[in-house]
Amino acid sequence: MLKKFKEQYHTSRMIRNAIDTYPDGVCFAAADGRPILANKTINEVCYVLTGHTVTNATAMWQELEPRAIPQSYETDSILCRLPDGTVWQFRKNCLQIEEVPVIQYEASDITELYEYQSRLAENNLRVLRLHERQRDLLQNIVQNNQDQELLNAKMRIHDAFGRILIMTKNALTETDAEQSRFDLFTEWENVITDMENAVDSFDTRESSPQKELLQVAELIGCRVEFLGNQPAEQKALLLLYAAIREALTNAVKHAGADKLTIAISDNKSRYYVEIRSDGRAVSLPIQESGGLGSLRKRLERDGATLDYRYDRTVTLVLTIPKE
Amino acid sequence: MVNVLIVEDSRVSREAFERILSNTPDYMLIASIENAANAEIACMCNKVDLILMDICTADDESGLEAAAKIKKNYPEVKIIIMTSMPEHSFIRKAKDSGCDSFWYKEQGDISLVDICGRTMKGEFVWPDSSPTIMIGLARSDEFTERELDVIRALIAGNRYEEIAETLCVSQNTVKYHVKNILQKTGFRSTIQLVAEVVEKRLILPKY
Repeated sequence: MLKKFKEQYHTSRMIRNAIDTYPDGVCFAAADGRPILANKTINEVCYVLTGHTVTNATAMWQELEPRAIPQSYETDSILCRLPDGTVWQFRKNCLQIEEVPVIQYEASDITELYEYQSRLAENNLRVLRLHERQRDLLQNIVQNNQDQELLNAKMRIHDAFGRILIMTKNALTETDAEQSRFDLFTEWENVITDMENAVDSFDTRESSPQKELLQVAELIGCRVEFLGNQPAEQKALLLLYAAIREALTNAVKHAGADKLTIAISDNKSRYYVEIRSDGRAVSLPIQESGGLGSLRKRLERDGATLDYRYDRTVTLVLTIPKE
Repeated sequence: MVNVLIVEDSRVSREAFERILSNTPDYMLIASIENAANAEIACMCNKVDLILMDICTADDESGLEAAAKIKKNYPEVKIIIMTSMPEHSFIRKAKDSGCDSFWYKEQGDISLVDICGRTMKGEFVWPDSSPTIMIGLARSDEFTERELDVIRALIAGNRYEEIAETLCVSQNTVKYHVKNILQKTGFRSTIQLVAEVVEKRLILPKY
């Protein structure tokens, strides 16, 4: 009897020693939280965090939850940082031992892994921001192209200017060069005109969509009249002119129109636009293919709407968001 | 008499072209505009014989797209695509759009009047290739088409998984291409690569 008792005692001591030398913290508890076996490490870590060793595992878990590192808490895992800077991960797992539920709690020092993860998250965030910046830069590429083309044109003028200076020097040193002097005069006139344009181009960077539309409309014998104020926002303005171009093409081609009227009004959030022509009556329904189909896609992609009103001729009715 | 429409958003270049054509008796300027999307409307007047079409025009409108529409509806109109950008795909895209000739404004060894004359005689005048530029240590013609597709996707801000999906290849294949590109150019990162490619206009994703 004593021998059997001693054997049991030794077995328990061996299990206790083995579990205490385990580098991570571990605790087995009954379903109600009563600890069955808890090693030294989990008791120490729990003491540092809660002020006491594991007296009830369920209560320990509840006490750890508010101490978790922000955004690290998951249902079965908690990350906590100790005052010495180390980061510990607590995990719980339900086991069935001889059909009795036993909850296994583990505590692992993951300081190094956590630092790597944090650095990885920071790097990912930085990459994401770089991608966003890259996308923004792309938006400005058209402007950059215009600047590049302007610069190229100026370099061309600069080259021409240098060439004419050499020609002038030659002409001045030659005695019989009446014809070349005349050519030289023409060259000087040309390069001076180009230089004047290059200077003016600083003041006239903005193209005028209205002026150009009126110019091409006049070419095809159609007068365009605007009623109301045009959008101040560039995006809304581009959508408006895309619609006007399509309406102008269709009105002249299919209805023989010679006048297009664009009525614009707005409220706080949207512009309301009606584009009507004085062309012939068209047969219904309108087939929305090609140009009109593409226009609808473009408008709807940017939150605008397209509709029609039939009143002898077709009126395009648009709403365009201000933002 | 050849009736000409100029589509060019740079005022300096536009007025230089106007002046060159006005000094040539065979050409009559119908209109000079900045936005390629207005070119198709101008063609409706049935007077345009030749269009000098820039690729990057006002309000982000692409001269290539406008040219394709015009060629579909007015195939008799001759179109000379013009650009000063070394973008590698422009020549192919201009051919796909049905344009008649292609003129590099800055690098070309042919004058504007010459290319207009030859095009109006029915000749198709095309450069052999886009200008070669240096991207890091690599010449632009050293990149394969697939590598250029990958660079284009990187410029658009796509991540490897997005590029793989778009190009219907695995992420490892994308990484393999990126590794080769970086090896050729000598760059240490894709950011450096993208900055150089965009700055030198080898790829302009909007067009």
